Amino acid sequence: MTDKSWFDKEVDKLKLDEVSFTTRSILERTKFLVREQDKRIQQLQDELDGRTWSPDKW
Amino acid sequence: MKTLVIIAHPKYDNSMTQAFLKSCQKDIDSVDLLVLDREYPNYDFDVKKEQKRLIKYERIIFQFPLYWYSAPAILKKYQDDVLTRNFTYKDEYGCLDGKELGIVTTLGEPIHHYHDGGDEAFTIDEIMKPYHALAHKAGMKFLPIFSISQFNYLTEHGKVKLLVRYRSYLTNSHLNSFKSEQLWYLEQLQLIREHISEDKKAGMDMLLDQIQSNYDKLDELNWELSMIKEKEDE
Repeated sequence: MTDKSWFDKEVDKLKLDEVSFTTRSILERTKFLVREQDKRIQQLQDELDGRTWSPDKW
Repeated sequence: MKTLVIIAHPKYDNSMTQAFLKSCQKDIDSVDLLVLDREYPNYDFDVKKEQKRLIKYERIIFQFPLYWYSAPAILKKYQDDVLTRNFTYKDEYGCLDGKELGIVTTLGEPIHHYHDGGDEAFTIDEIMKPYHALAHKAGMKFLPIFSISQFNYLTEHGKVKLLVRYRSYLTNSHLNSFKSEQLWYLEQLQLIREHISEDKKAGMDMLLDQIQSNYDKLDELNWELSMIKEKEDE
C-alpha cells in the first residue's frame, strides 16, 4: 500500500517550477492513480480473505 | 498505435475548447489532426487522398461541437464523400475493418441534462447511435464516447483531469482496462522523466517504483484470486 502523504509530497516536488501544464497535469493525476490502485489492492485482499475463510470450507 | 483526430468545427480558430484540446496532445508524435474546415473550406474532398490517410491509422476520432444533436455539416459531407461503400463496408473491401472509432463531442449544456427525463431527454449514447452504426457496418470497434460539457466553466482541477483523460483517449490502447491505464501512466511518466532535470530524476524513479510495485501487487492478487475461483468451480 502507498504512503499517501509521502507520494503526494514527491509529486508536488516534481511539479515545482514545472512550466508545462501537460506535465503538471499528468503528475497531479498520478495521485489519483495510486489511490485507485490502493483501493483495488484492499478490495482484492478482502475478497481473498473472504474466500479463503468461507464457512463452506470449515 | 497511430490516432487520427478528424475535427469538424466552423469556428475552429476561435474555439477555446479546441485550442485547449490541441495543446493537450501537441507533443504526441503518434497523434495527427485533420481540421476539415481548414483543409476543405469548400467541402470539396479529395476522396482518394482522404481514404489513403484513414488507412494509416488504427484509431480514428471524430471531434466536434454538438450542433442540433449531431456534428457540423462538414463532417456529414466528409462521411458521405470519403466513406464510399466499397472502401467502408466490412464485407466489401473493408478498409476500416478492425480499426477503432471514437467520438469527442463538446456540449454547451450540462451533461446531466442528457438523460431520460432530463432537459435534453436523450442520452449522449443515444444521440451518437448513427456513428455506432457506421462503426458496426465498417467492422470498427466503437469506443466509449468522450463528451466535454461546458468547458468554459471548468475549474483548474477540471482542466487537469480533462487533459489527462483526453490524452489517454487518444493514446491508451485499451480504454476500458485499469491494467492498461496503469501501464499508460508508467509510459507517460517515463516520457516526462526523459525531459526533467537530473536532480529530479531520483524523485521520479521513486514514484515509478511505487506505481510499478502496486501494479505487480494487483497482478499477483488477481492471479491468486483466479486460482481460488478456478478451484471453487471444480
